[in-house]
Amino acid sequence: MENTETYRALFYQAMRIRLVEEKIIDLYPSDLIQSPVHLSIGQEAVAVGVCSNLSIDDWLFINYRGHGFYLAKGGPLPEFFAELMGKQKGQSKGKAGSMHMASPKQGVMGASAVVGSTISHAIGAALISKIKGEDKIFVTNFGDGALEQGVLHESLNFASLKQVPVLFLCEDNNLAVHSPKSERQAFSLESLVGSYDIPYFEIEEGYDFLEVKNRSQAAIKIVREQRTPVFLKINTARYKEHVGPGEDFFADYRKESEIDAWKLLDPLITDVELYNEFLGEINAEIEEAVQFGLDSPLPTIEDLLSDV
Amino acid sequence: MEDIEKIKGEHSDSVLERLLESVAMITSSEALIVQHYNEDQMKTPMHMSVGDESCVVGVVECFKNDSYFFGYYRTHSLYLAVARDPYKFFAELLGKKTGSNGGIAGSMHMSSLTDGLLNTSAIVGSTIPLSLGAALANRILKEKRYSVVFFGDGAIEEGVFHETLNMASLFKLPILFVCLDNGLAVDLEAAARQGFKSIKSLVEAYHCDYVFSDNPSVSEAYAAGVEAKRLLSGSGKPVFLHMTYYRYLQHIGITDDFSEASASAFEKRDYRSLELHKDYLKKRPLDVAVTEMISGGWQKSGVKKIVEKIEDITLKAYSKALGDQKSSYGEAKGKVYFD
Amino acid sequence: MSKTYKAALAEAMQEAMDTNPNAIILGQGVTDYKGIFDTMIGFVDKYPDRIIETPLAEDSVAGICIGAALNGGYPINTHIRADFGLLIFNQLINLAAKYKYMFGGLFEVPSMYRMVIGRSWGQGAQHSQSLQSLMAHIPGLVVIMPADPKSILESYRYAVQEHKGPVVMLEHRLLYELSYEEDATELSHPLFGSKLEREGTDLTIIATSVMVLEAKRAADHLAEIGVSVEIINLHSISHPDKEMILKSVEKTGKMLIADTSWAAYGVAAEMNRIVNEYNPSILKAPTHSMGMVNTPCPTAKVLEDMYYPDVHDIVDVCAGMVIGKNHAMALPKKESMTDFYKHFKGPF
Repeated sequence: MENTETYRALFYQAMRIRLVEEKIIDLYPSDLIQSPVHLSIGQEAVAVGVCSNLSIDDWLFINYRGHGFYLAKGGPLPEFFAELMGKQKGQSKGKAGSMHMASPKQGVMGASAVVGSTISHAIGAALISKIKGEDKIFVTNFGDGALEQGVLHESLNFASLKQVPVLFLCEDNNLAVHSPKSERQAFSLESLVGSYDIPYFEIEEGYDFLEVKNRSQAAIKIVREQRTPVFLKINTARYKEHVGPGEDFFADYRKESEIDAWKLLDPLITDVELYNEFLGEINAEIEEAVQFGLDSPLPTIEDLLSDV
Repeated sequence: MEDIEKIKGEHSDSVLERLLESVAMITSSEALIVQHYNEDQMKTPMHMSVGDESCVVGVVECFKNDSYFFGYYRTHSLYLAVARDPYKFFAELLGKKTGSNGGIAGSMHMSSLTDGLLNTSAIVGSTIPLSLGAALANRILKEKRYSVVFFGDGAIEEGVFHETLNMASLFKLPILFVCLDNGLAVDLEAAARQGFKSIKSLVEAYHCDYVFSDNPSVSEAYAAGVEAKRLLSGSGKPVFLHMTYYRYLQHIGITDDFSEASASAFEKRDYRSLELHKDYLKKRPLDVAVTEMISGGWQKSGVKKIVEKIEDITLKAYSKALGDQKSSYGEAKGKVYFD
Repeated sequence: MSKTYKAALAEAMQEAMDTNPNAIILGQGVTDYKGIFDTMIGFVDKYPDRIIETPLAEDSVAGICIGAALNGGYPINTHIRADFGLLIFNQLINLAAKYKYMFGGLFEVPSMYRMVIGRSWGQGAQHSQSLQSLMAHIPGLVVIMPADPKSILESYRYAVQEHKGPVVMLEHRLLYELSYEEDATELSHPLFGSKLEREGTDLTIIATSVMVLEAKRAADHLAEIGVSVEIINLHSISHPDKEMILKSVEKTGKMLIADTSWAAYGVAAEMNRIVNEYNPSILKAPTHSMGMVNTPCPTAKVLEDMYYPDVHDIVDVCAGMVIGKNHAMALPKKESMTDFYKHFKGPF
């Protein structure tokens, strides 16, 4: 019974993200959204599974593929669409757009378009929290591409040295734009993390809501209770192109069959019954949010010049 | 380590002699600097090579004729081991036209293109990726050359080390990463800076071969170099050669951490063990090299002669350089842009 | 009452740590017994968890500062050479400077980045750069170059207690040991202002950092030969007091900019832009931009002396602009500024 309810809740959240992303694809040709979009389609389970173990106080540092995490952490939907449409009532008055989603009230810290650039922010925030004696934890989410960045190495070193309450969350879809890990990485991640004496967890079935929730819970528990860093890697799959609303299997940098195999395991596709049950409710919320964005006024010259 | 023991025994006399000469050259050069620095003619900050002579000479001698070398700001041992030119060395420190770099580089940025010492730099870790670039170029040009890059234990904390080691392993480049480990970054010990268990565990995560040599004498360092070369030429993987050594003086300057004269503006006092220091004073690299040769069968007088010959050459080089013309700005200005 | 530049820095650091329980100082060398050229002696004992010696990882440390600021800390990031500051440009420029704007005002990143400009004695190409114009060019950054103890105390206090964004302070190594007498001159604003150091009628010198002192020395020489110069200490590079500058140039009709860095695309270029866009006819003669020679810095002393302008050059140029090119006035001997100001032993 418990599982079913939890499963339903996670399914709902994941489906909500997917339908939002699909709505963006729908709207894109109209040029209502004039911002590069890095969609979370295929990767929703990671966001909802992990965030279901976080409280509103916990801080999450995201990246430019941030829609899923923004929504899973509780970022408001109407302001999300307004932001994408570059409107004044957007989360950031239209000045951020898709790549820089943020919602501090729900602990979603600013997304950056420079790979790996917010990992160290989580470390710094956690450092101060030690001084302040806080309870909350800090999660830094990045893709497998960020693993090659020097800043990851520097951050692992610092986190280990100072023992800060940070969860390093790697969302591994095996691609940095178009190149797979095999063309970019010669290190064993588990050995690398292990050499810093940081516990390493890996989840292969990144499509399985309950698996992601339960196993990430164990990792988060360590961070929360022991106030020490942990590394968690979750395998996932990016269905669409790196940036943009379309698909690019014609480019041949990966096999469509791989994604098809993953889709066979994707509950959002296979659990048709539950999908249909939630469809109406989610779509209604999305319509309202889109309308909020459409109704929102455009930002003005004052908005241009403010917040410097 | 039995390969290394075997290699030690197979040193030809001329290699041993060269090793001793290089160590003696560095030792006597550094001694001259200590003697004359306060005359204020060598106006350049000095990160002295007092302690790392064996490590650097041993590795350089092994890789000399078929490598490009890259270093950091502790350049003296590297420059002298590679170029073996004390005259150009002192001329550079004295800011003369005849210096290795026309007097423009000074102590921290010495190089010698003709001898294969491509680059040294005052920014920690900054030459590490250059060694990879050179290795890539060699591959494209089909030149069979190694890239040998020297850095301190502090450089391992820099992200660029991670980025370069990853690519070296990924592209299977013949790069020798030489970590000269004195346990200190200026005056901060490793435990306060390094959250990883050991350098070995870190390096091996990159599927890189790891060779360790603890406070080697010059011939031990040479043997470690030979082992590293064997691994490099066989596997297509980079090699990480980790050598520890004792830094006798302060991070920068000509005094040690124990004398009252250490007036350096930013370094700690009382962070090093005087006892350990006294112990190491009894086994300075040149003394060890001399002792090794004698116990290896060389005549004491012969060995002494070699050392004296080098001391003489070094002194003459210094004196000659003193009288040279200073570098001129017009010439220096013309070297800003590459034509 | 006299005070040294470095004593003022120490006082400013102490005040920051005392008034803000979440202030932290991070950098290479901060826990040294003599901490960052005597500006933080004993701090590591006094504020045990808040003085953080960092591994060699400038990029991530700068990001750590941003994260700390987001969580209510006030981070002070030190760089013993401005050249190492280049390693933090990704975090400083792509993030810290833009964090408030990029997210439409949702966040603020109050933080301080102290960088020391190296000079003299063979510092060479990578230990001598003065990068104010690169950073002042970026909207969202405040860049100041305090030239005396009073300016330090006022502006650092304001940065820590009032300003809610990133501030870069470029401190000149040659000034650290110098002792200043208390005087009545005031900054027009701690972070967004400049200071009128000396009134004059014949020519306006706009100077930054150590060049303010050099301009003052030159002014004394020039007074002896009947040339009266007005000196403005720019102080804020990113937000200089334009009114003060224009009022002065309008009065004198002549402008010399004496900066610590190169002329092209630098502070001098910006001063010329300000004047020209206001009214070029207030100038009665072409302006002059004085800075380092347009090359990287050479290590050799004799070259270094040619590379940096000094009191001799300022007097020569000012006499030329006011009296005429063939002024034939006696000039102070060409003496390296280093030899005049350097009171510390050793190269660093």
